[in-house]
Amino acid sequence: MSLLNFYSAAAIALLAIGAYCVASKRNLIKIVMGVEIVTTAVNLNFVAMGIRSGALDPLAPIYAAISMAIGAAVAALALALVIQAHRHYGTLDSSKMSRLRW
Amino acid sequence: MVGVSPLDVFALFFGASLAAVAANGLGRKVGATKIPAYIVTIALAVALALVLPMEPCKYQLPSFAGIPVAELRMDDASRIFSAAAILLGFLAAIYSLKYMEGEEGVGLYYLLLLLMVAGIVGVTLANDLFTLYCFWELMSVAAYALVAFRWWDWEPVEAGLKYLVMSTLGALMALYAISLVYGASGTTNFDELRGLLPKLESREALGLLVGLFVFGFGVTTAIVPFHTWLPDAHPAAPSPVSAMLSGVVIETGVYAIARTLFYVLPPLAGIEYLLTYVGLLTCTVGNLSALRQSDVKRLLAYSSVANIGYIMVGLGEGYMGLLQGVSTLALAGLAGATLHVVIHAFGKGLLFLCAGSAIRALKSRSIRDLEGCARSMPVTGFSAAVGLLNLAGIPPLAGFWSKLLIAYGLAVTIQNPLMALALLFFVANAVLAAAYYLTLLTRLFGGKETGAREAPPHMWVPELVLAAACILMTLQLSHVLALVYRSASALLGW
Repeated sequence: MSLLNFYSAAAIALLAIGAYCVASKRNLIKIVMGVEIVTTAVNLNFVAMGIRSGALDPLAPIYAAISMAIGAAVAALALALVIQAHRHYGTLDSSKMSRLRW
Repeated sequence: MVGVSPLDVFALFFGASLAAVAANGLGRKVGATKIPAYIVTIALAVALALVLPMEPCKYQLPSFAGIPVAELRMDDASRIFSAAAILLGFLAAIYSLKYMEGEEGVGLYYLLLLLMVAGIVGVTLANDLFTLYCFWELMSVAAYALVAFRWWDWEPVEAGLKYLVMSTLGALMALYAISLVYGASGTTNFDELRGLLPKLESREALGLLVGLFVFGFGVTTAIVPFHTWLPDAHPAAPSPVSAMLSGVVIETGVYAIARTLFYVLPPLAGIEYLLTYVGLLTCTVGNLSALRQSDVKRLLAYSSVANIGYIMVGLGEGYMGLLQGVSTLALAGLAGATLHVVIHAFGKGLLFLCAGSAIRALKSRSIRDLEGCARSMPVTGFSAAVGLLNLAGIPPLAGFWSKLLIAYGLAVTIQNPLMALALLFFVANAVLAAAYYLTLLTRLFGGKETGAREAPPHMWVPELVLAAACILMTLQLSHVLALVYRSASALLGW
């Protein structure tokens, strides 16, 4: 199994774990963590895709780094909203927030 | 205008956002909270003046240590989409001067509005996939924050969180597709990919990429079944933000889908039916849900879903034309979609602004409480009537011609049974949509007098400008059609 396949497979596995986490968990923080796992998966895939004949294309880590920064911004905003949601509902359980349907 | 590069527009946005942050900090100390609002409004006006006369061009950013960084392009499609976004942002900013007056953190509200417009302009000007993604996230993050702007209330927070989780996952799917494209070809530049991808990709791989792009960008575009965040998020936002979200943010997704499918990726058989039928499903679900709503902003939000459906049908026809090499069909489909994007941007922006005025006057979002308000608020009522008739597709108005152009594309392909069925559904949907728009219109004008006072000029002037734009588009239809046809050929790279 080549290095490329190994890392891509790991990325797909992470993608599946993240998507499962978002779909099945009820705790809002776990949902945000699921989104972050998917972000990590995509970043890993970028680096994996940058491997060309054994060497790493310098563009790939740049893309991954920018994507990490964007992911951090999204995570910060998401957690700020989770804090507000907790203040309103007194719980992190998404199924209790049924005034708008999930 | 010679000498203005796309970079200047971003320099303007960047400078204005820094100035707005500084003015926000200083203004709070000395009690001048309106300065960020003025900075942002002026910056948007200047940006509109820069973008409109810009010649089609490309601009390569200086490379970093020999690595090509990013490329911006300006063509006819970019200009239409970015100009619509800036114009609506400008009018929303003027409207907000009164609407958001005295709200907590209003300086940051203007900053977010400016960043959202900058993100949209960036998406339309990007010439490589990764730059497109970065600006996409700039737009999206600003939009999440704007939806949840009234964080002291439960509804915006919950709707914003839902929007954030769904839309971020969609964007990440698109980014995953971008990483696959990058892995296959070693570049993300549109023009290089256009030459490289047809040689590299197998049919299955291409199908996967198209699926990831359509559904990735499609979450933010609110195509069914990923539309569920929209009817919560758009009503929860302040009205000028709803106007921006429904008017231009979801259409930016249409642009991203069109650009990747028509320009970057090679054509793949079967996708035309995917686009057409996803579009039909979207407009059917949107229209049927809109019929049942009693909250005026939820009704408008569902009708945005329906309008995205019409636009996707237009893209589907364009794709069919591209596959079969029938240039008239490809152009008609894409031009119809672009025309409907512009009409929906103005029409829905207008309706959300009018709804905002009426809600502010009567303190209720229920249609029953708003009955009769159009008579006591003459300017808002007139503008709302223009917007409703326009989106209902009543013949002389431009909204009719865009739907006709899309229906024409379906009629050309009528010997294909799947497309004939699509035409039937499309017309049924258009009639259904007209029904609830006209019902809303009669309810707003009928009923007893509400005694609502007309909104202040800051609020009715933008409404009137948008209503005038809708009428002007009807009067200058031949010019508008020439513009959208040029935009369609730019999207196709012809």
